[in-house]
Amino acid sequence: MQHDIEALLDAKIELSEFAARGQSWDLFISAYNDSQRVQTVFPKVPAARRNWWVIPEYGYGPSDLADLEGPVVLARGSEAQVMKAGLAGSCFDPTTDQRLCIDITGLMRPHILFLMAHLQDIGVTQFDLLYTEPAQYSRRAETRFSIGEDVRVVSVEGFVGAHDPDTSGDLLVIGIGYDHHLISHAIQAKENARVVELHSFPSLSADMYHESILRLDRVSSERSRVAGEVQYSSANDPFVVAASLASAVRVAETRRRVTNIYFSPLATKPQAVGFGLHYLKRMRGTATSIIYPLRPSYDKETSTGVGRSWIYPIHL
Amino acid sequence: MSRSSQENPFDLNKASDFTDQEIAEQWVDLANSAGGLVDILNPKSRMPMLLLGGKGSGKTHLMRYCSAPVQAARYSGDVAQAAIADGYLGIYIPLDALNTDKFAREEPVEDHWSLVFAHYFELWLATALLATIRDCARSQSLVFSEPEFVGAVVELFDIEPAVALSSLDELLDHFTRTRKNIDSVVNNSRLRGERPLFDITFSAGRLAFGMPELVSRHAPDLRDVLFVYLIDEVENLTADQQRFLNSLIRYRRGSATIRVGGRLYGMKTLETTGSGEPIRLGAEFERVVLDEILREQPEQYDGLVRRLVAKRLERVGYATAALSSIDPYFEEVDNRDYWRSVDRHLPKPKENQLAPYHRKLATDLKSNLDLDDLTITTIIDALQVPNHRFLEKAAAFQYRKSWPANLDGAASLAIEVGNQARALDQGDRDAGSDLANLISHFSSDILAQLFHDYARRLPYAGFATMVELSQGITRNLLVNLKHIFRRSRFAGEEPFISGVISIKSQSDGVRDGASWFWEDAQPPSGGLQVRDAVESIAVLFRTVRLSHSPSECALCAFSVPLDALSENSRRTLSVAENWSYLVKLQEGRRNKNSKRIDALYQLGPMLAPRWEVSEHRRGTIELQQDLANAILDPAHRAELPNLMRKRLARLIAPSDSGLPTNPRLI
Repeated sequence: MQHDIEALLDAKIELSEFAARGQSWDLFISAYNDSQRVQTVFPKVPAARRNWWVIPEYGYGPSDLADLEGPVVLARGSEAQVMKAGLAGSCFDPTTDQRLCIDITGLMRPHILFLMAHLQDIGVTQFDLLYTEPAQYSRRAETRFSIGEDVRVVSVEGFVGAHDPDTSGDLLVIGIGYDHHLISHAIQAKENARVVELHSFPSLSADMYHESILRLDRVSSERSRVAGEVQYSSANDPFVVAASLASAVRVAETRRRVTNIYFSPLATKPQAVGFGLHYLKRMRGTATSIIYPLRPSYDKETSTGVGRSWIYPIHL
Repeated sequence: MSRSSQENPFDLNKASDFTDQEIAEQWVDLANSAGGLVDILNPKSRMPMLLLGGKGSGKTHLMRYCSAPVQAARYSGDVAQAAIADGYLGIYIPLDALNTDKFAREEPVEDHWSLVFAHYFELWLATALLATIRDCARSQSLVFSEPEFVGAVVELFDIEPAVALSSLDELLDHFTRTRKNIDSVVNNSRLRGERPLFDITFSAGRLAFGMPELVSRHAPDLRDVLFVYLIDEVENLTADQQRFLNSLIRYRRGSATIRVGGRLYGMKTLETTGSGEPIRLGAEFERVVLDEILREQPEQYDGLVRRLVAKRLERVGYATAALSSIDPYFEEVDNRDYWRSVDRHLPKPKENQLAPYHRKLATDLKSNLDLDDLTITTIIDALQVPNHRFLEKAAAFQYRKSWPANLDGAASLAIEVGNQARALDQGDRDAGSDLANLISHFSSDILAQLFHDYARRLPYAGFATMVELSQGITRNLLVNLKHIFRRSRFAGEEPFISGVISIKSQSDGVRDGASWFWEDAQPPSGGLQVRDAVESIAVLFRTVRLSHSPSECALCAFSVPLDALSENSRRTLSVAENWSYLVKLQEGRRNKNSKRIDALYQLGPMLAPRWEVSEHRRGTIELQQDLANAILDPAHRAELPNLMRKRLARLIAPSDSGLPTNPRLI
């Protein structure tokens, strides 16, 4: 059965509601980090098997993991290598693990995107993604998510488009998040592109929108082309994001001819899921890619408190 | 004037912000020669060229100006006639859309990915070329044997296309389909971890150089036209990918040639594929650094940016300002009568309270010469210049530079220096000649110290200053002007309509620009190390400038013995130069001891406001090997505090007095 994204606008449900229905998963996977919202949710999730993935970007050593039961420790590599190794480490078998849930809260955005493309490619077209909101980011507008200055903007594996040499109408849609350095890198990597900003509004909590705007102002010198091209979308509903992204591109196309399109989801992880959904459903094979500024390391703890946990049923 | 109330004339500061038509209309040029900037690119020459430059130096603007659509815009839209008249046809190819990382996610890449890239890249060039040829063929004035040309191009393939092709549209479709097929294979290969498999349908160089030759044959009017691939943003290619580009440069032939645009650091290698033998400068390619040329011709650059600013003002409706001289719109620090005007930028002096520079001097006199309070009061009184704080500060500066050797000379020196300052205040230049001479050298440093004494930010003002700060890079100027305009409007001023842009708005604007410049440059690796080094250099300059007795006036440059430095230090210098944090001055500087010529670097003027150091090219300091390594090489960084203290000992405090433990605090 094909599910259209718009038909799923209110498909997300809270984890507590899911659990109350007495439902459970065959396999639950979560990426380990120090955040309370990752650690407290893990034991509550109803699943036959639960697995921690220890992704390399957080830089955990063996002593940090002593208390974890059978973690899958993953070596550095591209998102494809890391995620495939993770699935193999969890002994994921599509025939027996028919109900799969992955907590994306601790995963990197390229990981999430690749997982979606890869699962679709191997025929797993239905699975659930879980995301737990923070109560707040730890240092509010100054929160640092990624570490290090060695940044490389790359196309996310599985999201490489068939591009055109004519760049006169290139479009870059950026999901605006807190990491203004990453925004600057994305803009600079696609210097010829017109920029559309997709802001998360309403944000996860009321103050987060203002905080992200404060961060965005720091790249004001780079933002010469953005006048008027601002769109808004949900921070925690990937289905709304996918629909908003489609609308943003449509609006941009009515204003000016569009040649190549680049998406760069730099806001929340549900937003990255929304970008992935839209791409996999509608943009495959076109002159569209998802790009991401990769950094070598990420902070192990960027948030305080535990907000709501959402389940996103994905149908590809 | 309706648009002017809304728009910032300097909002657009990248070539990509402009359409082809706007590039043609907004073009400004050097005034010196018939060819101007186009002569620098020299598109009629068959010799390939690397056109390098700092970010925003105008490379893309220049390449696009020489590209077919803009050429056509200059000839009523007729690209064929433009090509015939100009003698060349520019095929502009920005490399960012190539998304080269899909062929080289990790380096070193496996050989098969190099082959995939080479094939795809040439197909990319060929597609752009063919699209331009098609535009030419559509010109009413051109005789073009289309089916014969298409047939001849098909012959260039080793594997003939599956379907018969007879028109340019069909041929272009075939190129596009072939490319998209590779895209799909590459995407799936990345997704599945499989090797990319597809047919290599032509040999390297066959399309890129073969098609221009066929054009000459099948469109006789274009036989003298040179086809110029304007390949921009070469920094997007990995070293391995550049080897293939370099091979194309080496094996260029017929009526096609190549111009490669990129940042200073853009070319990672000059090696070619196969043997790896590098392409040879002079014999196989030329190398031009655009902003270096503009810095070497300051008058030409000044004229260029003034015309550029006038165009921008005119574009958004500031017609009056566009037609008149730009300088009067920028308030300047009035330097008449020895900067008497700076008084109004400083806090009002408080009655019965010493000026901060006199307070500090009194402290130093007490601790260093052990003078009693009465003598100190006599000295400070002697150095007073009522109602002229610049001269009063200059007298204190002179006093410190001449620092009395003993108690006896302390008061007489103060009387002598104070008399000179008061004489200058009265307009008697003869009686104050020594101090006037010192001021002529150190005026900008005295000013910097004066503002620092009162904890006020140093002003940067005047259009000429803005030009100097931009370091030969037009975008730097536009970014600064963009921020200045924004600050000015926010302050309630009416820039370019009435009144002037205040000194404060200008100073705030250039500091915004400096922050952008500092944050914007993002070296792909080792960025922190380079920034630490540049910051240390800037702090050194600032410390000298604000010191008890600066050794150099308007210090902004340093010389180093490059050969004696560690490899890490040389790398730091190279990255800093590539990212325009430092500007390498070609003349170098003769070492005082060994008489050898040392390398000479200026701190990027755009960064000067960040640390309030001089933006002018005047003072130079010599960095010995040990201090240079401590600044530039993290392995030697631990030695920096001691070496810095040693280097600055005679400058930062009167002799024999206790040295501050941390020179940064000065």
